[in-house]
Amino acid sequence: MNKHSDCKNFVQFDVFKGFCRKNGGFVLIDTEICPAFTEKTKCRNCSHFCDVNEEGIGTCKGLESEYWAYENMDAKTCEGYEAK
Amino acid sequence: MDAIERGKRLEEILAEKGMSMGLAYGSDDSQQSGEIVDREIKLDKTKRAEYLMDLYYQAFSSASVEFPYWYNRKFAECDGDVLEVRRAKALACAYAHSTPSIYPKDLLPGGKTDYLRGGFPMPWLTNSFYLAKEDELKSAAASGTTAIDEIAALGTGGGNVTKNQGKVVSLAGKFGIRAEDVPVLTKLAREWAGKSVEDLGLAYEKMMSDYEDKANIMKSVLVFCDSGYTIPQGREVASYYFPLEYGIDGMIKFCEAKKLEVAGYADGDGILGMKRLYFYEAACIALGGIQQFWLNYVKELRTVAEIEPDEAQKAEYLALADQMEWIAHNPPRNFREALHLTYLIHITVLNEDAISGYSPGRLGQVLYPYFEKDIADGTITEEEVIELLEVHRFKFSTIELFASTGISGGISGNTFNNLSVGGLDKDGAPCGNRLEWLFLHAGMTNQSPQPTLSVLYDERLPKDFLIKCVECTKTGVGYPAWMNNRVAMDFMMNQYGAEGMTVSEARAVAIGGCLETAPGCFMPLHFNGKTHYIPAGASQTTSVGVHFVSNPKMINMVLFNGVDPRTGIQVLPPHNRELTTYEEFWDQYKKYYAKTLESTVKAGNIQHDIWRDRNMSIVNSLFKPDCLKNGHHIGHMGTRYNATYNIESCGTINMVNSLVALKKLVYEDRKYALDDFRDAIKDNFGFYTAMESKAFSLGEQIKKPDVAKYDEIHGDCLKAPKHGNDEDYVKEILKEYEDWFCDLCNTYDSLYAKPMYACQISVALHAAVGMATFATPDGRLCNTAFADGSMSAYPGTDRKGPYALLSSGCCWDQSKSQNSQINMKFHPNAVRGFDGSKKLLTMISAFMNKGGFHVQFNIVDSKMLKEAQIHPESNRDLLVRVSGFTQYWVETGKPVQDEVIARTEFEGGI
Repeated sequence: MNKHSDCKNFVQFDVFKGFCRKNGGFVLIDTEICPAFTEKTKCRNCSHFCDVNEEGIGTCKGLESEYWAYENMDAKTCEGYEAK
Repeated sequence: MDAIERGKRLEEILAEKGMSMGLAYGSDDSQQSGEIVDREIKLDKTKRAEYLMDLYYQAFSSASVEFPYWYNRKFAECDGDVLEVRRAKALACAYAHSTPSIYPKDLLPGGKTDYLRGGFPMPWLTNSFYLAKEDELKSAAASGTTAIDEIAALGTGGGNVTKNQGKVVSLAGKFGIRAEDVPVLTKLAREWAGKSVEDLGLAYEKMMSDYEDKANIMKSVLVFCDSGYTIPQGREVASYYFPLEYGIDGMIKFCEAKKLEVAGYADGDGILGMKRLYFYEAACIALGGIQQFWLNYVKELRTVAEIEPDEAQKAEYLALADQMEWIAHNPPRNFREALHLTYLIHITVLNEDAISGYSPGRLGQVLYPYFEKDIADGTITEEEVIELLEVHRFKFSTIELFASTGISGGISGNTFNNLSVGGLDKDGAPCGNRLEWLFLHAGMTNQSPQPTLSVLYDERLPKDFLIKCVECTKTGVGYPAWMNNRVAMDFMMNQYGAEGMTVSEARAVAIGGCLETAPGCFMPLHFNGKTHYIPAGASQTTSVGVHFVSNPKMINMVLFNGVDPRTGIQVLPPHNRELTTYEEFWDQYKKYYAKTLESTVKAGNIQHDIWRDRNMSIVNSLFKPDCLKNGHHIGHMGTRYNATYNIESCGTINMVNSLVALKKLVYEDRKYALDDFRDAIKDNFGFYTAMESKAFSLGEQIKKPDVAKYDEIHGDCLKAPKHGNDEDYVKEILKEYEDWFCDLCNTYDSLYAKPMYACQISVALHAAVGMATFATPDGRLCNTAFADGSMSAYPGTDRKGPYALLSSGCCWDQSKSQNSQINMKFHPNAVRGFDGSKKLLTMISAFMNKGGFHVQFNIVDSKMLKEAQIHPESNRDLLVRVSGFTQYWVETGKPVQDEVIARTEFEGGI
C-alpha cells in the first residue's frame, strides 16, 4: 500500500511526517494518501530491482555489481535507476 | 499508601532537626516561594528564525539507513583494494547517494540525512547493539499499527522518540526508525559481525594479561564506557582553512599532483612513506564524493524552484543553488558563501564517523575577512548577518549523533559543537571582533543548544565585548561558558611543547566539545588583497582514551576490598589491608586507581589501533593541518598535534568530600570504624534507593520507616566539611588529589606513544555514573547524581557564597589538566541590571586571576525548573546548562533535571 512518503511531492522531515509540496503543510506518513499522489523514484519502481522478499529486500542489478537493495529506498541519487 | 509514600524525605528530616539542605544562598528564602522570576534579558529572533525553530520543535530524531546502505555496498564491491582507498570509495559512494531535503526559508541547505534531525548507525564501527536487539526490533516493527492517536499525542519529551509508536520503532531511547527500515538495519549490521571495530577490538583486547580485570571494571561501571568504537572522533576543533583558501577543486588538484610526486618514494620513512600515495588517492576520491553530496542539493534546489509558487522563495532557492554550486568547487567570495561552506564541511565531516564535539572553534575570527569586506562594500547589513547566524544556530541544533543508549544517555543527546569567541591572535593581541559580537547576539536572539558558545577570557578583551558575553549569560541560556585563555595556553605548552608548539601557536587554542581544550594553529588566508592569519584546529580528537573513571566508586572499592557492593563483582584484586591510617587508605586509593588505568588505557589503545587501521579518518584528515602536507591521515599522526588522548574522571567532589569525611570521622575523631561506614553504605544509610523512589537529588531521598540506626553516622557525614566553602582542610585533600592525578595521567602513553592527560568534565555522566554507584562516605545516597563538573560543589553543601566556591577550586594548578569545570546557578535577581552585569564580570575576572580555568552559569529561578518538570508540555523551548553544554529541559533525563534543580541557587547580590 502506498504511503505519503512514496509520493514525489513528499519531503522527508522525520519518521512520522513530511512536507507536502503539492498541498502545503505537514502530512503524517501513515495516513491516507490524496488523489494527487505521484510515485517517486524508489527502488521498488526500478526495472533493475527484482527478487524481493517479504521484508522488502531484493536484488539490484542496475549498478556495476549486483547487490541486495530494499524497495523503500529513495533512488533519486542513483545513477542506475530506470523506471519500470 | 506504600512504604515509600509513607517515608520522609531527607530534606524534611533535616528541617525537623533545624538543619537546612542549603539549596539557596544569600537571601531570606523569600525567593523560594511566590511568583516565578523570569530571565532579565530577552530578545526577539527574526521571523525567518522563528519559522525555522518552530520546524525544529516539531521534529523528532530520526534514523536513516541510506548512508550505511551505500557504504556497505561499495565497501563490499571494493574487497581487495588498499584499505584507505576502499574506505574512501565507500564514504564517497555514501555521500554521493545521500538524498537531499530542502526546507522553506532555510538559508543554509544541507543536512546529515534527508530527515531534519537525522542520524544513522555505523555498523562498521559498532554493531553489537543491533545484533543483540535484532529479534526485539523486528518484533516491534511487526506489531506496528497506524496509531494516529499515539502520533498526535507526541509533543512532550522534545524530539526524543522514547518508545515504539505506530510504524516507528524506538532505537536507543532517542531515535525513531521506520518499521520497514528495521530489516535493512539488521541486515547491514550482520554484514559487520566479527569485522566491526567493536568486534575486532574486543577480540584483541582479550589477549591482554589483565583482560578479566578490564571486563569487570566496565561491568561494574567503575569506568563508564569504551571509547574506540563509541565516539572515536570529535571533541576537537575544525579546520576550514583549505577549502576557504583553495576550494574543493583546488584541494583535488593539490592531491592529484601529490600522487605523482610521492608514488614509488618512501622519502626516508620505511614504514609509512609509501602509504602517502594511498592517502592522496583516498583524498581525491572522498573529495569527489563530497562534491557530489553538495551538488545533489544544487539539483534539488533547482527542481524545487520550478514548482515553487512563491516568487520570493523561488528566487531564494535559485540563488542558493548558484551559491552551493560555486562553493562545491571554488573558494568563497563573500560572507554568505563562506558561512555556508564552513557549515557544509562541518556536517560532511560528521558523517564520516560517530563524532560528537566536533567544534567550529573560533569561527567569528575565521569568517571575519569576508564579513569585513561585505560590510565595507555594502553588500550585506548587520541585520542580514544576524539573520544568517540565527539560521546557522537552527542548522547546528538539528545535528544529531546516532549512538548507543548508554552513550546517548551519558551525553544527554548533545552534540557539543562549541564555538569559541575571544582569546588572542597570532601576535598576542586580544580578539573580540564585531562578527564575534554578532555571534553572541544571535545566540541571545535565537536561543538554541547549538552551537554552544565559549569565551576565551583574557583581561585585555574589550570591556564592551565582555559585557556582551555577560548579557548573553544573563539570558539564562547557559552560554557562553567562560574559559581562562592564559590557563589554556599554559596547558597547551605543557602538553604540546614536545611536538614543537610555540607561544604564538598556543594562542590558537579553542574549545572542542564541552570544554576540551584543543590545540590549533594560524593559517594564512589570502582574501581581499590581504593575508589574514585565521585560527584552525590542528589536532585529532582531544578526548578519547579512558572515558570517565568513577572517583566515588573507587572510594567504595577501597572500602570493600576491591568488590563493587552494587554488583558483588570482585572488580580489583583484594588489597587485604587494615587501612588503619588515612595515609594507608589514600595509598590504596592511588594503587587501585593506577591499576584501573593500567587495564583501561591498554584496552583503549587496542581499540583505537583497530579503529585507525580499519576505520581510519579520511574526511576529517583532509581538512586538518598538516595531513595534506604530510600525506598521512590522522591515524598515522598526520595532524600537527597528536598528544591528545586523555583520562576522564567524574565525581571528583564526592570523592574529595568522602575522603574528608573518612579522615575526620574515622581517623581523627575516631567516632566510627570503617566497618560502620561499610554497613551504612550497604544499607544506603537506611534510605530507599533513588531507583526505588524515582527521585535523584539528595534532598528528595526517602527514609525507610523504622530504620534509625544510621541516622547519626549519616548526619555526621553530611555535617563533615565539604568542598565549596574555602576551607583549608578540604582544599589540602583536593590539591593532593589533583597534583597526583594530573601527574599520574601523564605517565600513560597513548597508542601514538604520547603522554596522556587528565580531563575533568562530567558531561551528563555525573547522573548516569551516579546511578550505578552505591552510597558514599560523604553522605550521598545510592543511585543519586554526583556533583556535576569537577569543581562544582555538591548541591546544597556550599554555604559561604559564590566567591568561597570559586576560591575553593583554585587551590591547585589547573593548567596541569585539560580542563576543570564549575557550574553555578544564580537567581535572576542576584545579577539584575547593568550593575549586576558588572558585578558578575568582576567575580569572573577575580576567579580567572586566581587561576581558575572554567565557570559557567544557569541564571534561572529554580521555581521555573520545578514548574517545567511538572508541565513539560508548556516548556518545549526552555534551555538549561547541564554541564559543559546547553540542552532543552524536556530532552534531559529526570536524574539530570533533579540534579540541576538541587544545585545551590545564589540569590543575594554578588
